[in-house]
Amino acid sequence: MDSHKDTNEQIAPLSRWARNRFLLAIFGSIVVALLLATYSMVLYNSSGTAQLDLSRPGYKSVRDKVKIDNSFDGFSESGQVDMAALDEFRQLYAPKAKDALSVDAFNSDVLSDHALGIEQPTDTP
Amino acid sequence: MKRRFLFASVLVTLVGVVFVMRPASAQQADAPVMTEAHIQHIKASCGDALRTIQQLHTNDALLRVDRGQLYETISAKLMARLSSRLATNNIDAVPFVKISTQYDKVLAEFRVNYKRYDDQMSAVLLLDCTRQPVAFYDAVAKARALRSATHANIIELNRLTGEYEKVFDTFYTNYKAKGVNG
Repeated sequence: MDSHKDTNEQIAPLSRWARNRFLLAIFGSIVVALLLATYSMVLYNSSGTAQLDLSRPGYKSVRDKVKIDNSFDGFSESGQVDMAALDEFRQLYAPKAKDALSVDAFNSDVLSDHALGIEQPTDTP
Repeated sequence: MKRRFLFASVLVTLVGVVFVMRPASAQQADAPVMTEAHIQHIKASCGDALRTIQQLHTNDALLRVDRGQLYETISAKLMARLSSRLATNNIDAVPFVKISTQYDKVLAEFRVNYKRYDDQMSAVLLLDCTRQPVAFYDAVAKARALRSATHANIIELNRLTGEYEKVFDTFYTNYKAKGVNG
């Protein structure tokens, strides 16, 4: 009898927060998820990753044109230095250098007033 | 004495103000004044300009991925590894390291400049050029300047790529001669 009485005394009324703890857990999880998602989006934009992401809307037309070359292993950083190794380096470097030098990328002429048709109109007599 | 000090202070302040204001006035004088005809011309033809910019923006993204991949490969898989291999074989790699360090620096600048340029191009595309022709024109000018900075990085990267090849050729020739001669 006494033990029953003790148990009843131990059950104190739950506070408002404790009664809604399940809802609080859900709400808290959503807030944390939103904060993390915001942080990751800030990182995504500030780090320059966004500029490399062609899965963004508007890049569908060029997405297929990306050449992902994972087959190039490069020059080995371990081993002896002899004529064979130097020849190997030359064979690896020359095509990459040629490729780099072949394209005059980001020339600003394409953004000139004339190219965009927004130049100062010439006065006609 | 006090008067002289006051006079000197006022004189220095005036000279300072004139010195600071001068470039601003010169800049204002140099800034092209947009005529009403030019504004009307922009309003009329900015639709086509925007389409061109949109297409350029899309193509640039592909070019950024393509060129970026190439420059990263040259830096990480070729330059850095040759330097490392030479160093582990106790061969002087300083001329190579010098160029590759500079290359990495310019590559980092390229990433930053391209990001700025891309952000500016996105800003241009958000403008309503028929309602804000002057703002549109200025935004395009800014994008052009940023593209020019990116282009300068590309030129420098290409120059360093060529220079590295020359240094390697010299090293190769010397190494070969040394090997043949004993």
